[in-house]
Amino acid sequence: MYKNLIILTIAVIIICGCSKKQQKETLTIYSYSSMGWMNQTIKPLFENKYNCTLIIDTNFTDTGDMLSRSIIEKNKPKADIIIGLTPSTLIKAKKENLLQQYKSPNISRIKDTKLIFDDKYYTTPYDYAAIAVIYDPEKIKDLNSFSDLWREKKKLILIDPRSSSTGVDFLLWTTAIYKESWKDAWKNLKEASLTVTPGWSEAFAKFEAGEAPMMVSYATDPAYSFEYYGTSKYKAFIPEEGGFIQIEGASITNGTKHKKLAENFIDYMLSDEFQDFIPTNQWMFPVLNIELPKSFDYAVKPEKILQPDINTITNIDKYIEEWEKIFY
Amino acid sequence: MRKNTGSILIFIYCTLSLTPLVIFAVDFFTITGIPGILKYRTLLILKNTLIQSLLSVFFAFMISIPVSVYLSNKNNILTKLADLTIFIPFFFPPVSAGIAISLLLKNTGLNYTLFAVVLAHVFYNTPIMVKYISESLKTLDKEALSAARMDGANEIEIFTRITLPQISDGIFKGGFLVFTYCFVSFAVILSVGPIKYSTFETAIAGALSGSIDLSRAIGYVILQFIIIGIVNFLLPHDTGTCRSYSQTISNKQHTICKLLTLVFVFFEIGIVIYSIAFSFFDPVLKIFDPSPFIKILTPGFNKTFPVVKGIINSLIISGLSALITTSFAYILLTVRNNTTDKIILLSIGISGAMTGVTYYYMNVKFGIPFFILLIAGIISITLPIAYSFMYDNFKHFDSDIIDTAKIDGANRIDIFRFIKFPLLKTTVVGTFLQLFTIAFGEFTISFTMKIQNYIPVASVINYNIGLKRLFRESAAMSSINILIVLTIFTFSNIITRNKD
Repeated sequence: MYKNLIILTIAVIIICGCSKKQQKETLTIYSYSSMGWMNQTIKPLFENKYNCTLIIDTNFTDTGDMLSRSIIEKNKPKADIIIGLTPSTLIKAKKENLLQQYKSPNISRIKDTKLIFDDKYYTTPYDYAAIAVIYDPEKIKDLNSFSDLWREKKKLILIDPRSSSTGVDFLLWTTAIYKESWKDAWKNLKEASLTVTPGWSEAFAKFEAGEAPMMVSYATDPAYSFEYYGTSKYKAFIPEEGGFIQIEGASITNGTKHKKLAENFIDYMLSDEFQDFIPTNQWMFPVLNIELPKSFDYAVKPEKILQPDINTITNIDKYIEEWEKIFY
Repeated sequence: MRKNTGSILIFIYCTLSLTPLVIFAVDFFTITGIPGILKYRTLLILKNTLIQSLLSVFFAFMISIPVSVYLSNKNNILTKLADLTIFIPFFFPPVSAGIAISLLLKNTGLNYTLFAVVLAHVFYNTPIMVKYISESLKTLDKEALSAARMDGANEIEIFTRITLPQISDGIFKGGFLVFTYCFVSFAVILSVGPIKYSTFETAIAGALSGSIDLSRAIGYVILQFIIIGIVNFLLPHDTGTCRSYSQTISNKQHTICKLLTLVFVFFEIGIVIYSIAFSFFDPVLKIFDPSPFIKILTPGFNKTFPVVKGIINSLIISGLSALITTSFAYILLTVRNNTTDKIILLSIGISGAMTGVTYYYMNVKFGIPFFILLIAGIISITLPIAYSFMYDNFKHFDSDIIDTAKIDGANRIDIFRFIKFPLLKTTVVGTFLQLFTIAFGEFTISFTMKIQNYIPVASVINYNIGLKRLFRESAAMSSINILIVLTIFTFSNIITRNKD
């Protein structure tokens, strides 16, 4: 009787010990909805490579949405990595003390050092693309200067900078072009706009439904159009004044309990394997020099790149407030 | 005793609804956030929200009168269809309505204007007004009308002096609900509204995820709640109406009302059909193509978008929350008083977006499971609707029967088993099924909680499908959801009608 009990106890201990040994480390990543493709592509690859479990939560509509959740969880963080930070959202994340520094050994592989937008390495860039206005070439012709956008009324779909990082970057672009008179430009843009949508997806739905022939988007959209429709159904416009590049970065959160695995993931984001997925999934340019698909021949590259003033980025909330006054 | 029980129950409800907000405010509200609220912008939001809400209530009321008169006098296929429209404000996805209305107004120059906002709100909320006014009209005192006619009063005098005062209860209750739903409007404003007509609800969402100013978001929540509270307390409650009589209308009035009801039904149902048709029709190839329905049920598609799991989860969550809410509302109504009436209606003004965030925070802070939090959140927003749906039947319940039963020695359980439940069964079951449909289509709380990785629900999965540019697949899922809801809704209508 006692003998059986001892054997049973030892068996239970061995089983528990084994199951504990087999328990995989779990890495949780927050990103916004457009990064959902990582669940089908990156997740199995990374899990196999590092024998871990990867949870990629892409239920956030935008970077701001994701950041808001991270602030709420600040004292008990659930995410180990947040993906999709832009220069303006990085400032907020740093202010809330959400991130920790990490300089990946692969950072030297980035094709242009200008893409490294944080020299303290709180974030690691992984993709970029120029903001552009996409348009239906059958309805809109002869676009050269930025001011051509307000040639006609109610033809343009804008994106709200209060709720979208694309909207913020378009606002920053206008400040880079028009400097102090950016508000006058927006008064004209207001007249030219049909509506202002909360995010890119809503704008694209209206654009595809033919509600307006122009919308704020990305210069890589013609590549998407070529890949899916076989034609460059829409064209991207970057004015002669210059283009604006949106760069996105990934960061390790301050409270992570899986620091090493998180660092592995950041390194992995700067590998050829990860970067290969960027062009035809995220429809952005990879930060490494890798071969691009043929459709990217249709992506527009700005000849001149404009940089907004660092004070503008730091005080973006004040600019958004001024922007709001124009629309109220 | 009765009053005390009502107060205790209301206290429990308020505690459950407001505790997450209070805890969130304690942790995130800072004094430095106050200047963010005390700005001219807040006044503009208030002014423009009031304008669009009041205009929407006015037009919804004007349309409701002839439709309600027809509904309270006739029982035919047209009235059945008009009755069916009540599912629209509670279930039909506002995003779908927004897209349909913006396509309807395309090339008219009226898109994204105050007109579009009011039109969308009228489409959305007139069925509520119709329900309340037609129910009140059914309770008109026919003898008073006949007496007035015999005394030589004309139809306008009869309407203004006899009919209107008697249906004022329904008008105020319906008007308050319509006003509140317009005041806290979110998806409609985002879909068809210009920025100028932002509501506090859209400003809350902006402060939560755009400027990430949690203090400002909490400030807007409190302001919105106070304004809805003021309106609620200013409105007269319980003016009292007679019961179980029907009025008659002349042939000329009948024709006009019938025509206007026809237009109303065509407008309401037409927009729903327009949205559903998109899932069957390929707009690029211009052919009939039901393939999106097959695609969304395939295992491959479900791996990315768990459509089937989402529908099953929604059915479970809706069933449980509807059951708890109906039971709670039933108990609350049996001990109702003026305080319960006012507080329950006031809670409609609680921000849906903020509810989602604060309930999520309960998981972060205390580890309460998402499943419980989601059901609790849905209960907190559906209880006022359940209360409102069953209100009239409880208010006019003949208490003499209960008194007689008590004299005959019946105890509380006997009274419930043999008198109350059999008499109110149809109302309770009908309310349960209607709440089930509302919970099934609930979006704001599920969406703002962002727990799709843990508990995918149908409404949010559908939204995510749309975000991935799979618009026809999204329309197909909307159609399946609408089919589920309409089946349950029709079933509930049959049950409720059997009562009559």
